[in-house]
Amino acid sequence: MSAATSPRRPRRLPRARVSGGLALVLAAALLAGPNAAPAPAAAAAPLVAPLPDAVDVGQTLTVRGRATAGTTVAVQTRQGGAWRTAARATASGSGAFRAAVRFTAGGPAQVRAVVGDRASNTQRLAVYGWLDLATQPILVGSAAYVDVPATIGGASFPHSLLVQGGSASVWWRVDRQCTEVRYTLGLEDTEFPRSDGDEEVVSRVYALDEGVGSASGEVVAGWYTASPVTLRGLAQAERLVITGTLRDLDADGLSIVIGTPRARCNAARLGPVSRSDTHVP
Amino acid sequence: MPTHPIRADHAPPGGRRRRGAPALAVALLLGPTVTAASGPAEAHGIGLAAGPAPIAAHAAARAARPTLAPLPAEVDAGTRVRLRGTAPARAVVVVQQRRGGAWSPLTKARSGKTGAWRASAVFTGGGTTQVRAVVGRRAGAVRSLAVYQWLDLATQPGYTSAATARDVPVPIGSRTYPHSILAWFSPAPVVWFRLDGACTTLTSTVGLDARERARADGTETFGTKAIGYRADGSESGDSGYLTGGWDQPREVRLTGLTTATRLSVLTVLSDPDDDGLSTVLGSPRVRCSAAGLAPFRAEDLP
Repeated sequence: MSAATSPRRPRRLPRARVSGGLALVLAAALLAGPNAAPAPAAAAAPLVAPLPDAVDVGQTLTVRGRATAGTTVAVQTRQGGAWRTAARATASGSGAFRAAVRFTAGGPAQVRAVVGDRASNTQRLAVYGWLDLATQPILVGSAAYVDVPATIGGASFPHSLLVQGGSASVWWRVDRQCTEVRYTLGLEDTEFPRSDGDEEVVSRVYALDEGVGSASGEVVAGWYTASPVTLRGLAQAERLVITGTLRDLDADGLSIVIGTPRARCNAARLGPVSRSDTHVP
Repeated sequence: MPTHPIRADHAPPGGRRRRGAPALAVALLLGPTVTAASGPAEAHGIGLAAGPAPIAAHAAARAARPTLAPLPAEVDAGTRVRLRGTAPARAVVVVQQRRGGAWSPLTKARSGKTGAWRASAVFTGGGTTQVRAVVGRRAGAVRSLAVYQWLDLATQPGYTSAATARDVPVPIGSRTYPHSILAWFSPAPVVWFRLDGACTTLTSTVGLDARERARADGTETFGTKAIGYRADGSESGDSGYLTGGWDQPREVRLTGLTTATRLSVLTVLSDPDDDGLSTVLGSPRVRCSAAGLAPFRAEDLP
C-alpha cells in the first residue's frame, strides 16, 4: 500500500497531540545542546504519529514519532499476544524518530513506542496477508483431498482441493476480515487417462453476508486448462463458498480441482465453519 | 634483500603481524594455564610437540574442535534437554541446531578450566534435528535427535470420504473438543492421513455431536476403528472396534505407528431414522517427529 511507504515525511505531529509535558522536555533537551544526553529518568512518554489504516504482510511500514532528543526508542508491535520490539531508533536533536517495521503475519495490529518504562499512545492498523484456504478451517460438502498439490495443464498448484462426487461446495468463515479471494479452476491432469476427454467443470465463488453479497461470473475449464477466478470486494462477507460441477455425468470418480485457493485477510487464521453456516439466504 | 629470520618465522609482515602479535603475547602470558588446558586438545589428537610448549598449546587449543556428548535418540518438543561436551578451556561454546535449513543458535555455554561445558536447551517444533557445538569458526561433529510433537490431524493434509468440517470445536457429551473433524452424509466415513513412519501414537475422542441430539431419537450409536498401514499395505496395528452412543464417547488410542506410512480412522453411524447426523473425531492428534504431515494423494489410498 503506497500510504505505508509514503516518501513524504510529516514535519511534526498535530499540535493537539503534543502534550505540554513533552514540549517542556523537548525544549529542555534542545536548550541543553546536542552533546547533553538526557538522563533516562527525564525521558517523557514518546508519541507515535498516525499510521495508515492497513499494510500488507512483508511491506515496510515507516513508524514516525517524537521522543526526548537522543533517547533510544523501541518501536513495539502486538498482534494478539504480548508486545514485542520490532525496531529501535534514536530520537534526533529535534526529538523526531523514524523506524521501519515489517509484519510477518496478518491480523489486527497495534503499534507503540517505548522509551525506558514510558510507553506512547497506541496506533492500530490492519495487516493483510494471503491465507491458503486449504489449510484453514474448512467445510467440504463431499469426499475430498484437502491441502494436496494438483496439476492443471502441466502447472503445479500447491495447497489445493480435489473434490469428488461430481459437484463441490466448499465453505469458509471470513467474518468480514477478507478483501479478495483467488483460485484456479481445472481438472487434474493425472486423471485424464480415465476420462472421456470432453469433460468440463464450471465454478463460481459467492461471498455471503445477510444475503448473497457478491459472486464471480461462471468460470469454465476443460482438460489441461487452468482458469483463474478472482472475487474482490469481500469486506462485508461473513462466509465464502466455492461451488463446482462437472458437466459430463459420465465423469464419475473425477476430481474438481480448486487450485491454490487463497484469500487476502486481516487475520492470521480464519474461524471454524460449522454445518449451520451452510444455509444460503 | 634477505628476509630477517625472526621476522620470517614469527612476525609476518603487514596486517597479519598486527593480528598475530597479541595472540602470541597472550599465549606467552598465559603459558601455564594454556598448558593445563591442553587436556581436551590432546584428547582430540592434537599434538603439542612442535614449537615452544605454551605457543603450541595455545595453537592446539585454538585448533581443537568442540565436542557434543551423545544426545537422547528422541525428545518431546518443549522438554528441557541437558547438553554437555568438551572445548578449549574457557571458551564460549555456541550450540547450534538445524532442521533442514541453515544452522541457528540453540544455546550458549562457557567451558571450564578442563574444557568441559554443560548447557540445557528446549527444542521446539517437531522433526529430525541436527545439533553441533561451535567455538569461533570451529564446529564439532553433528549429532541428531528426533523431536516429537503432537499434531492436530484436523489441520493436516488428508482425505475424507464424506462431507466434513475440519478444525472445528465440537461438543461431545458435556465437553467441547477443539480442532475436531465432523463427518456426515455417509454411514461410514473414513479419514486418511500420511504418516511416513514419522509418528508413534494416535489419540482421539470419538462420539456424536451433542448439538444434534435435539433432532435425534436418542437410539443412535456409533462404532470406530483406527488402523495404521505399512507401505506394503499390511496393518501395523489397529485400535480394535469400539462402540458408543450419545452418552458414551470412546477414547481411541493407537500406539506402535512407527512403521505405519498411512493412518485411517473409520466411524460408523447407526442412525435408524436417517436424521443426517454427524460423527465426530474429537481433537484427533498424532505424536510425530515432523513439522507437519505430507499431502495424502489418490495413489495413497489402498
